[in-house]
Amino acid sequence: MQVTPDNLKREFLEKGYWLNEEAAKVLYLAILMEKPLLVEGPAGTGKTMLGEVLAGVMGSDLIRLQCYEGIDESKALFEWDYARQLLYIQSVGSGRWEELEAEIYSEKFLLPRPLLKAITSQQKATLIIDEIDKSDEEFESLLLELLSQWQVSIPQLGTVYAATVPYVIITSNNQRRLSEALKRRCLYLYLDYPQLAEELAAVRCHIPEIEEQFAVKLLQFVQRVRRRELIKPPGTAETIDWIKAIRRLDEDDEESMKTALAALLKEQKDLEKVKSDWKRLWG
Amino acid sequence: MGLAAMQWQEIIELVRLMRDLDVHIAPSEAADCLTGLQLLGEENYETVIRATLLKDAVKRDLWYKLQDLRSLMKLPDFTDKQAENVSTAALDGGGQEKPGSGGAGGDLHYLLTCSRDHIFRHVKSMVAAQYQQLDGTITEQVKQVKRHYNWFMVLRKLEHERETGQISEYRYLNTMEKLRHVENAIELVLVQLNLEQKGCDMINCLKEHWNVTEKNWINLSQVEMQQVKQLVVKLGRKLAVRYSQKYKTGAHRKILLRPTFQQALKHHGLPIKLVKGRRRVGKPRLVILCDVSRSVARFTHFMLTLVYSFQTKYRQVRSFVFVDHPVEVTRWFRELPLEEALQKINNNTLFSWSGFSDFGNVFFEMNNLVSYLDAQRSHLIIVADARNNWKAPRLDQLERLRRSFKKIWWFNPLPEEQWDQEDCLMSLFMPYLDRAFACPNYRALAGAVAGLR
Repeated sequence: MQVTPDNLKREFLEKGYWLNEEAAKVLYLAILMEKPLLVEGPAGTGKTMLGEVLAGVMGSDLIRLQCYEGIDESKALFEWDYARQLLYIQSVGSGRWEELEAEIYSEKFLLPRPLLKAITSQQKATLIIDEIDKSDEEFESLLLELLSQWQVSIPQLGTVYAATVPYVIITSNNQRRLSEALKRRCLYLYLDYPQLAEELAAVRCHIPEIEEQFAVKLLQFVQRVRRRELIKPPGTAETIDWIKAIRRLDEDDEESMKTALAALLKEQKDLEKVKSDWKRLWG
Repeated sequence: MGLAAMQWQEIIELVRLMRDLDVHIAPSEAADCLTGLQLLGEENYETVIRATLLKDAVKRDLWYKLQDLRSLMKLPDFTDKQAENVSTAALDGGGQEKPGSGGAGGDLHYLLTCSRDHIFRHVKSMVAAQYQQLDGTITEQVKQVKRHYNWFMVLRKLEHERETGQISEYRYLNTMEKLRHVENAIELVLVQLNLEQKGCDMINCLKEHWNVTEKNWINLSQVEMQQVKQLVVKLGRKLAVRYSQKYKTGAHRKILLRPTFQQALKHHGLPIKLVKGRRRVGKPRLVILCDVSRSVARFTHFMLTLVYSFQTKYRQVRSFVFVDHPVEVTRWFRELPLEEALQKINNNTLFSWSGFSDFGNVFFEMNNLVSYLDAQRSHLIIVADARNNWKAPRLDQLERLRRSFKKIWWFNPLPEEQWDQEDCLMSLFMPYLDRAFACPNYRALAGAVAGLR
């Protein structure tokens, strides 16, 4: 496939992901400029899925690193296989230490973690660094060398250069401030809740047989719900689940729609708020 | 290519201006922007600058304001004839039966139907005519112009119509959005007039007025308050993450097998040196004492937001609010969503018996709670302006608190030069504090928080 914004849009649509105009263009830039793409936005707007579908579209391996509080280089970058190193030393018996050292600190005994795997892969891979805002500041620093030079320094082994530059998608729920150094190295995309037309296209990707008028009515309701001050406004994924649930119950019955709200809203207080204001929201 | 060169020059100028306003954009980002424009074409200018230069809300907001200011400066003024037409049109608009109609409210309704450029030109001609009568900072001038437009009456009527179902939700939100456009136009015009007619220093004027991180808490508009609130929440989470992984080494620790084996490799597999684990340091226990009197209401709102956002990560934060009597609010912060917790504090009056801050009494009552707070192992953070309404400071009680707590830090929303003015007793309190920070704006608060160890 020749990479152009339009081709990306079409390929994404074929894989069931509605890519908006701006996202298609920014993704195109990230691919051409070989830059990581930092995708921020509220939960449920398709940030991680963007990376997953990109892997499918570009025909590359998907490597995913889920960030969490306390993640460090041994989980993200590499680790030495100590047990095998010990076994190896015992098996070869005594010998010259310099030779032995060179042997045990070679790639044979290196356990590559997602980041190293992504840059040493012979075929271009897609790397998703998911929810980076959950990791610590130190972890962000760890990424800097990789994301700008496409290399990793391993003290015992030297510098490992990237065989291919992977497509990198970094997602963040915008929960904490990311460092300027990290942002500087990335292109930036904010994926907000979609507009009505965009969301309609996304719903049609997943439920092609849905009647347009009915879908629009449901989506207008969701858009109004999002404007309320809720603890967790519904994302696109929840909207699709809600519509699927309604179709399984009874499309014409308002009570069924209210019952299915559990698929749309995941907080009791939000549910109560929306149910109590149903008349105005439903319009 | 000619146009691209012009755009490029504009980008460079704006980037420089942003830097002058202490909002940093790196040279590599500007280079990315140029590459992006070459790849996508100048018709995708907006997409490219958002992807390469404007990576957070503060930068985006400031950039578009600067861009608007530039185009406003280039916009020709109304001719006399056009100005006359505007007045007629405004009167026609005002003649209809609409919320807030009558008087200058008609102008506002008329503006809500206009295009962006027309709004700018209309506001410019209206504001320029009465500019000499306006005084104070730009924020205050904006309020005066809004009053002229009967802004608050229109707004109240709009709210009323929404509540009683006279207008649809869609129309309400749409009108609110248009009102925001008009408000922005008023602000921009005033900035331009201040620069032109009062000969203000552009950088200082813009820095004071537009960089929300530099803007004093009390000067923030509603929209800016939301922006800064988000920044404060993120700052709190950053702080929580920073403290979550503190370790230190100690004598009695667990032996770690894997690193011990790793060390043993250096000695042909003989474990000569045992590697011991690191001991997790208990996160610092915090006791927060927040003044919620009217004089510091804005700042306290942000500080409570900050406390809330890292309290969810710490288990050992005790929060108190006070005016003249401390009341514990830790449970509300743990159990309620932020807005509800803040609302509950606003509606509560238990912490205010007289309505005036009384630090002496608050210190005295906190001393009574010391044993219950595990003070010896806790840091006390006081968030207040130290204005004591001419009441007795009771320094002996503050000294007792100093002896009880491990450390006392004070965050004061007043700039340092105001610490000794009027009834502010900061210099009297200073000898009993470990550190005191002046936090008149977000940047200063972030700096103070970053410096906490």
